[in-house]
Amino acid sequence: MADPILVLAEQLRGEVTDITFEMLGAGRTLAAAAGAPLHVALLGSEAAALASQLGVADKVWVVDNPQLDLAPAGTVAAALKALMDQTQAGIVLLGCTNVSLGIGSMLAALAGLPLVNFCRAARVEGGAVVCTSQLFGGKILSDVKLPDGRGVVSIYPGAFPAEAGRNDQTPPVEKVDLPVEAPKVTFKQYLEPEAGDVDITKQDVLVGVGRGIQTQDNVELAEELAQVLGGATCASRPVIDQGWLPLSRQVGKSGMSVKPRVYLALGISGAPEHWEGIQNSQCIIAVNTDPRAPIFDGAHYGVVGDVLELLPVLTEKVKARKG
Amino acid sequence: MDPVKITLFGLPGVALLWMLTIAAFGIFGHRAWQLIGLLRQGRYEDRFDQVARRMVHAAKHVLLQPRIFNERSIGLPHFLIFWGFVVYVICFNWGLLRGLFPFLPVPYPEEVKAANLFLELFSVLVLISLGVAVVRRLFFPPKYLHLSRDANVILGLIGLLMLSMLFGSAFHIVSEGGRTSAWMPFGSLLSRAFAGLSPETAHSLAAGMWWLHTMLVLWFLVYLPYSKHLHLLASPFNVYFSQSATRPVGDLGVAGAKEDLSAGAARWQELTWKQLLSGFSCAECGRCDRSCPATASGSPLQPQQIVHKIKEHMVQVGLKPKNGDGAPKLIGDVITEREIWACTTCMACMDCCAVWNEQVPLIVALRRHLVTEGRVERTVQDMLGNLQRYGNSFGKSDRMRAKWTQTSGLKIKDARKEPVEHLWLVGDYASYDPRCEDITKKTAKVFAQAGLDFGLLYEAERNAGNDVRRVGEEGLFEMLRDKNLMALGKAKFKSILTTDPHTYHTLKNEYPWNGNRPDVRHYTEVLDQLVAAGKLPLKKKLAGRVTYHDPCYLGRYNGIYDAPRRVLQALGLELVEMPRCRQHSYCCGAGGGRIWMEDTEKVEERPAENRIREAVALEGVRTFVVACPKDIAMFRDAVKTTGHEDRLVVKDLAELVAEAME
Amino acid sequence: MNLYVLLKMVPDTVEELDVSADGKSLDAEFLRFKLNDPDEHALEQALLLKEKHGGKVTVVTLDAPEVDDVLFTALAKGADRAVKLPVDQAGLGTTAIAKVIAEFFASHAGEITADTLLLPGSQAIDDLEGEVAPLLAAALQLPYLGVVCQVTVTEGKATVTKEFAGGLRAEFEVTLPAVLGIQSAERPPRYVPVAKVRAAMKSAPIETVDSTPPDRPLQLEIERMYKPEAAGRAELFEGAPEEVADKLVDVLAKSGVI
Repeated sequence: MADPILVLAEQLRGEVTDITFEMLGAGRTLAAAAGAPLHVALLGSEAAALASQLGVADKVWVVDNPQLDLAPAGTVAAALKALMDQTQAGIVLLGCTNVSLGIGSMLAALAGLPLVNFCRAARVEGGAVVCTSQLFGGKILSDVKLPDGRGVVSIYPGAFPAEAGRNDQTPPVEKVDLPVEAPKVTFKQYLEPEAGDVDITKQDVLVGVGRGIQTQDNVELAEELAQVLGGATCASRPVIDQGWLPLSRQVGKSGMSVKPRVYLALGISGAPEHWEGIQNSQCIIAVNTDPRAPIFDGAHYGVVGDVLELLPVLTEKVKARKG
Repeated sequence: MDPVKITLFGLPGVALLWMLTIAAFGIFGHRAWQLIGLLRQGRYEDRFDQVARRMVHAAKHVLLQPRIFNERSIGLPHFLIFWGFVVYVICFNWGLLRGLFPFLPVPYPEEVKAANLFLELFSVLVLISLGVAVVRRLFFPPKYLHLSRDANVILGLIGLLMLSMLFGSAFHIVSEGGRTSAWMPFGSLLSRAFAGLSPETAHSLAAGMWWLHTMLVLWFLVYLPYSKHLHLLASPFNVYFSQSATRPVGDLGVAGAKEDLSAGAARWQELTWKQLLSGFSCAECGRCDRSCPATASGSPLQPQQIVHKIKEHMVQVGLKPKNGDGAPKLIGDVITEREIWACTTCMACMDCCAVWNEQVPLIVALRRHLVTEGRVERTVQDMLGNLQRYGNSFGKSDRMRAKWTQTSGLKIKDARKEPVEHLWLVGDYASYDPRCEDITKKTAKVFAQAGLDFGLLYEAERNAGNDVRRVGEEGLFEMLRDKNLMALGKAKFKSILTTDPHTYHTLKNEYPWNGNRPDVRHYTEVLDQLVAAGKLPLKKKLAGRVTYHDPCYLGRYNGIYDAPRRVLQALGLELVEMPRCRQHSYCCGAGGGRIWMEDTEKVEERPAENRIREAVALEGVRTFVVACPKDIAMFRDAVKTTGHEDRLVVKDLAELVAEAME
Repeated sequence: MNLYVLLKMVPDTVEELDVSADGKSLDAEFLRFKLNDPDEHALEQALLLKEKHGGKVTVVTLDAPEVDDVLFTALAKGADRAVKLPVDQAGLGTTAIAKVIAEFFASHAGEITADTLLLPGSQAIDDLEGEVAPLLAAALQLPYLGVVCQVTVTEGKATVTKEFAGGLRAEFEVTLPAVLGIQSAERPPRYVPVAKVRAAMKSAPIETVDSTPPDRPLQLEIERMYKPEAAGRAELFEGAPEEVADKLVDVLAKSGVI
């Protein structure tokens, strides 16, 4: 049997995040192709409680050490390295997310292994693992081979289906004690986003605004449309940074991931950080003056035109249709 | 009768007169010297060249003052008040000298029949004018008229001077036995009312009038440099030193500067002496405020206030002993950033200023300082960054500049590779803005069909820098200019043709051609010439009533009003002028980098919307014709936001020509 | 404070990116480079910290096209030292880049003191092999935190805010010296006029510090680079706003939201 593939389960506030399941799914396929067992590492004081969700794996390693709670990347990487040594793992998968940022690079440095970042696809070819990574915001793809078949792979959110990583089986769990150095970066407190009046992750319809909305006043127009459609407004980072909408409305890598029935992307170019947050929406309608905006590659419907011209007309028509 | 041959407070009249005169001139002189001292602290600029041209300019605009007549109701009255004042000053000085030197074998002006007649006639005319002014002020004040103390003082003073003149004449007649004379018509009339006075009393009263008159004038002399009436002395110099006497006033380059002015002015001493002179020359008439589109749309900017505040600040801070840190800051305390950024650089203020003040360069100097400090709003920063990096304000690759040519259906020459007759610098908006792309293609087709030999610089073209300069980023302007000049230097062409008036203006007036300036033309001029030469293959006449909007940088800045109108005429269209046309054209609001700025102000009404309403009021006019790509963007927007899409359509002149050529 | 800002030039995506003939790298013909966006924020954050706490800001970068401009701009904005490591960045993966920078810090030219903060940008669009910040922290054995959006320093410790997801952020305490990967500065990067950059070009020199080109430019084997096929394009609606709005209303109705 080939060396195990080890997935670092990602957690946030007591929950296993979606990326973990995406990685499990990806890992399962890879493991099958490589003839390797699939292991998962679960670190921290909540670890034991969450282990049962990870049934897709062949084994769950639990490191029940509170020092690993919200530990910095360096500490986690050191723990993973120790685990790798113990389990002889050849490939480590982790999430290309804010939560896990840096762990992969540090682990790669500690273990003397290469890291493949932004991985969207992986396959086994002639005994070697080949990953497909996206670069330059998705404009270029790169097929990368892991020399010696060993390395650290950072998995891009949304690239692999999360369902493939879930099942109703309970995995075998093994507790492990690892030496953990006192971290020089200590967690103090969470800074909650201001409780927005609206939870955009629960909306059926979202009207998203980007730079193309041009001014704060025009956000009103989007609000009107959202209201008429019974939904809410949200925004990409530049609009939030300007302060035109509160943090609770931010959609994207550092914001929320949403999957409404309809997502209207108005004046949004479709940069990967935003796309990450909306890619699972059922129907994406994009309006942008630039025909080359990346949003049009992923949206279901599109209009190349001026948002400010279209908005009021659309709002009227929706009102009319609703009667 | 010699009014100085009296004794007052034990002093002979002559001595008293001398004391008063010396005191008045002394105080006046001291103050004038202080103010000149302030001017000398400003930065140097060379306005001392071309004396002859300057004298002609000054003579015309001080003596004949045609600009004063641009506001009908006050034009003639001011002209008369001005000349009345001039004549009186002459007569006063004559009288004063005679009083100071009684041994001079010279009569008083009142004793010379012709002079006295002159004086009386003028007194009455001036009094009538004053009457008009007072009645206007009290009963029909235009909205904009602010009743200031200085203004009321001068009106009162002039009134008293004229009345003392007339009464003096009347008393003089009575003192001489009531003999009236045709040389003293009004004095004679008035003397009837005092016929009952004894000659001695009349004599005293006549002398009294003379002294009253003299002391009022001396008092006024002292008051003058502390009031807006300083404009009487300062404005003739201001007109003499004005830039338009010798070169285009829209050229922001300063001649003969001894220091680098690109960092702008953070303190009043960093403005040039000529800029500081504006404050003393301003008569506070408010014409600039009334013509300013920023003021009209409710923004805090008022050109007169900018000039006025700088003056007040300079006088306050400059004449006090060391202020230390407590001194107010020119930018921030005295003038706010919002005011500085609100200007569209349309030059309406400068065009109507009766004393030829130059408000726009003043504002740009302040902007330059804000840019130096990085105190620029986010959107403008992004634009400047784009311009620096990609040579255009759209943030698109410089390689995309000529992408429109690919779908134009034409093979357009590359002026970098082959010589062309007309080098067409298309400009950012016409090249990159999807709203204007169509028009640019039509323009190209028109040129092609007219058989014009033209070409582009393709990717080598950069934004000409006009708006960059007006935003205050002088360093970036120089960089763009140098890059363009380099590209132009390598190309072979006979003349340059531009779509955008902003490009036109700066290429023509602000690029250092070193005597080798090529022929720079706006496309409307080229179309006009083609029409005149019969080279434009117009296939049909267009019908309908249209109105034409004079772009600021084509009209006011460069005097091109007729060429586009002739083209419209040649197309068969009926041109109906808007009330504010030609040099009174109302800015669309995009200039001066405003198109890059966010509307954070709660504006009452945007300039473009105001203009559209003006056009819509013209009966039967369905088309609003423009000759600038930014106007297309601004006015098409305004038509929508004012809800007039079914009433008015905005078209570029080139589009109409293309239509007529189909 | 002793602040180091580590800058990396990345391909400018305003241009169309093309793959070169060898199929393994970017076509260099129209390729332009610009400063990595988070790095610009890192510089701004460093300048803000200097304004508050005093000290020195040193910007460090490897050699790349248009990098001199970036260094002079940093000096014009207020950086005190600009160091260009004379190793060509082209063809180097981030591991190699981090190695060269680590060498600089091992030399006397890059002193790390008790009040030192190393501020690279949190990540870059060409970080195929990982991010400079954690790789550098590992090489120098310094504490590291990424996705930083706020930094406050008091007595040898930094209170740092990191962004998670869903708008959630968290505060961490970091002992100095440390490496912080900056995502965004507390204020948007400042503007510096061209005139000041030109003045910097004349007055302030760019230092070079001897560096060894790394023997392994890439840790990975790039089999090929290619442009993604547009997996599917949106169905585009054209026409006047009225017509388009009608079609959109149909789509909305079909989706069941009207």
